[in-house]
Amino acid sequence: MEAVVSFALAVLTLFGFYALLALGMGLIFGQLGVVNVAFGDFVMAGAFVMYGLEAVPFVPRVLIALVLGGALAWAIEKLLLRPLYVQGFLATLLAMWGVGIVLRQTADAVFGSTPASVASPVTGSISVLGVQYPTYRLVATTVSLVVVVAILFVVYRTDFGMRLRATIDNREMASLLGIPPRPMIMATFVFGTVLAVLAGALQAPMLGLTPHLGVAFLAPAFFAVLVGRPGSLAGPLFGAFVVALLSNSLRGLFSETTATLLFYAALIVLIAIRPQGLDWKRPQWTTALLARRPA
Amino acid sequence: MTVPVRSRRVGRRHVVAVAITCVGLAVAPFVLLPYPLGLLTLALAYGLFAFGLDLAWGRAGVVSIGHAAFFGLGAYGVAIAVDRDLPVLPVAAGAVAAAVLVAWLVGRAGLGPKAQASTMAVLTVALTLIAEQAARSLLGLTNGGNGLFVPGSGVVADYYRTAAAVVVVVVLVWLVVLRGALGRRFLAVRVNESRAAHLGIDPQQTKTLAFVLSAAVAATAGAVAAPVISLISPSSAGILMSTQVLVWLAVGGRGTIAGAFIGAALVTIGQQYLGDAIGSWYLLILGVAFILVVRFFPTGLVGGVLALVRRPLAEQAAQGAALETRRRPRSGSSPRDGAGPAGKAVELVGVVKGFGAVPVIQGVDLDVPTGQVLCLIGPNGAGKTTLLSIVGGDLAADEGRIRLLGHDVTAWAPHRRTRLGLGRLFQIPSVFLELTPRQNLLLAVAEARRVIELPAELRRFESQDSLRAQDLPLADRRALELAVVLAGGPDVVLLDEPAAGLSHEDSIRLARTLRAVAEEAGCTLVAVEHDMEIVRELADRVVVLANGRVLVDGSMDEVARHDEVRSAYLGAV
Repeated sequence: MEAVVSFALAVLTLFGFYALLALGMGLIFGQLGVVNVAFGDFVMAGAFVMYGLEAVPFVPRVLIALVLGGALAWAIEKLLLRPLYVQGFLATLLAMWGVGIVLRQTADAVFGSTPASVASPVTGSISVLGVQYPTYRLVATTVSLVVVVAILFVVYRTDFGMRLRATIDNREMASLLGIPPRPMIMATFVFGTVLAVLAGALQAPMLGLTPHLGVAFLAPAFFAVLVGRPGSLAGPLFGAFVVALLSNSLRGLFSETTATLLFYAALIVLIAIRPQGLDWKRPQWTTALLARRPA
Repeated sequence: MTVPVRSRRVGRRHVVAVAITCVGLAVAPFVLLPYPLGLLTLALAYGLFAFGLDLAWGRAGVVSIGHAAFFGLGAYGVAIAVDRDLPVLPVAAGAVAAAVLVAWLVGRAGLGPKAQASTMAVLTVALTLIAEQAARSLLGLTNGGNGLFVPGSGVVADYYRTAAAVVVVVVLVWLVVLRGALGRRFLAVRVNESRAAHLGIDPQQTKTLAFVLSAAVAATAGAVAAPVISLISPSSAGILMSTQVLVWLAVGGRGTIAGAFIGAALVTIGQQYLGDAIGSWYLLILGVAFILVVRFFPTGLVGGVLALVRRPLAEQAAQGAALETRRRPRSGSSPRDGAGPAGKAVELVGVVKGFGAVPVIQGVDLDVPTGQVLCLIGPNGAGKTTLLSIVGGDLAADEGRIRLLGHDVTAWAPHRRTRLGLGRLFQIPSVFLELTPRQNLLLAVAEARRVIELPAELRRFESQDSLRAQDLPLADRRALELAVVLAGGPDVVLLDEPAAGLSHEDSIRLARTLRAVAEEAGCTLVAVEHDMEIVRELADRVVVLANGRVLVDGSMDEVARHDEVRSAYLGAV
């Protein structure tokens, strides 16, 4: 029983983390067609802001990280990505990889490569169904999940969310209906990036911070977006759950290296079976559902 | 089609370039001090690594951002062999073979017909992460984070061995691959994958081959570099190395051999002299340089210099591939040999296709006899283009069978159907825009099923070599597409609104050309067309499609008399 509870808690914590990443990555890909290969590095950047500004209290520090991340994303979209959209997908992918290099090397130059740690704002642990679990982990998980629910609410229940979905679905039509595409693209990129920064900032006390920390999150986050049914925001969330479950199970059963290897092997098999990948736009999920009826 | 041979696979300037390089490399130890010579050795090995990456990224457009996994495999192969007193060469060869196998598996998964290019990016990152982690944790084999020591055999000996290996590998790959049929196919697939497939090139196979070759060269580079690096640690296979090789190639200039080596040399030498002084800031500067190159100079240093040199446009457009071939078309398949038993060129049985919940084709049965010119007409949204795409293989039917020239091709990819004898023209002409009209034709001829004489009207493209296809006006681009398709020697040609956007005179002339093609070459034509005058000029038989079903099937006069057609289509004009 205890083993089950602690496993469930670990899965839930990891789910909260990957849910933020998968949502952010899925949004950016859906709206911009950009595979953000610097996504993991924004997680790392968020965590290092938490480390660098240790003098500031925890909650304001998270907010500072979000603002800095948002400003950086704004600059990247405006100065780097915008002129590259016309050159196609490869150019933006490489540009983001360049951003990733700069983020990693900046962290390396400023903080060095020895693992750093961030003090947890809440210490101690509480008992959940007879299992002692660190309080901060529960807090971070709860905050992540609340943010995820809030995003779903915004996307599906507000006017802004409607516009967002409209531009993702058909940017040209949306712009003909009076939704300006540029601000929507900018908003999506900034928002998606801020989610990565938030994930990093919240996760910081549980991580050993190194400049190359973020790259390892790229493939699992991509995997999460890939698993879900393309076209719905619930897709990446489902994917994040699968990633959390798979990752925790493999780590429980095998050594670190074997677990990683098996995880990536699963990724390759999945891509071979489901090559459409991060396809967000094409099949409207409602119509895809209808089409599944026997004709 | 007769095409004068202008440039050979190996030109005089190539021989001169190789000779100068060899002499330069041979005398370097006599003029350089040991330390710079050691650096040059390292730069050469790294240059080979970048050259390997270029085969995938620069030539075939397959991105890999985790290529150090393969480099590391080669380097560890040598290091482990030395560590365990095993014969070095066989173990290194085994490491290269392992790289080929891994690359093939990843390529099969990530380069499938439906896979997105992003998939390869993420798979390759995963690969380099696995490689680094494996190197770090398989202590017994790799000595973990401490790495393995590979002794060199003296600065000069190391230098000559490395230089010799580099020259041999580069010249071989260049001669066999880049100047051969594969190099041509890499170019075709990168510039216009869909048109390449409709010339009979298998895009997935071509890209997978590029990736596998690229991995093999990278692993070879790792094996060659091992004694020069001397300490092989997990980072040789890791993300930092993968990033570096991308930077070398981007800065030097992808798609060129010189670019790979110059980029690697500049960055490596810069790192030795500046790296000590400014440490990790050097890599940060490189990252910024990478962003600037991607944003402002996508062709890199060598590309920038080449742009300043005045060269014939055709040479620029060919991008190092040898497009001029004297080869005879594959297997002397004689005309019409593939026609079906009943002389049916195309046979559709119960074809159904929908997009999501929207049914587009709702059960179409259609036979087209060999040599017939069939025009498909119908109101917008009737499913004409969709039907054409299903025959061409660009869309898969949900239900039903498609037979082509006597073969069931329902599950075949476009390139297989093309090899069987299908040619496809698109609503928006699909040609190789970066290449000259003549080069477009050369690519088509190289993949052609048989040699055919182009109609006089289209023969002008055979010598048009001083402008790119993208600079042609629409009417010419459409004519070029027709010439490219016909040069492939098809038995069945699918045309999607061949006259759209053409002036009245142009379209009538086009219709006569098509008519002549059908009559002289015995081609079966299936054309979607809106212009009734063209249809009258062209068609043996007219099929009216409405709401995804065949409404009327007959001659132009029969169709024009039909009331339902009038209400569904003609009346609406």
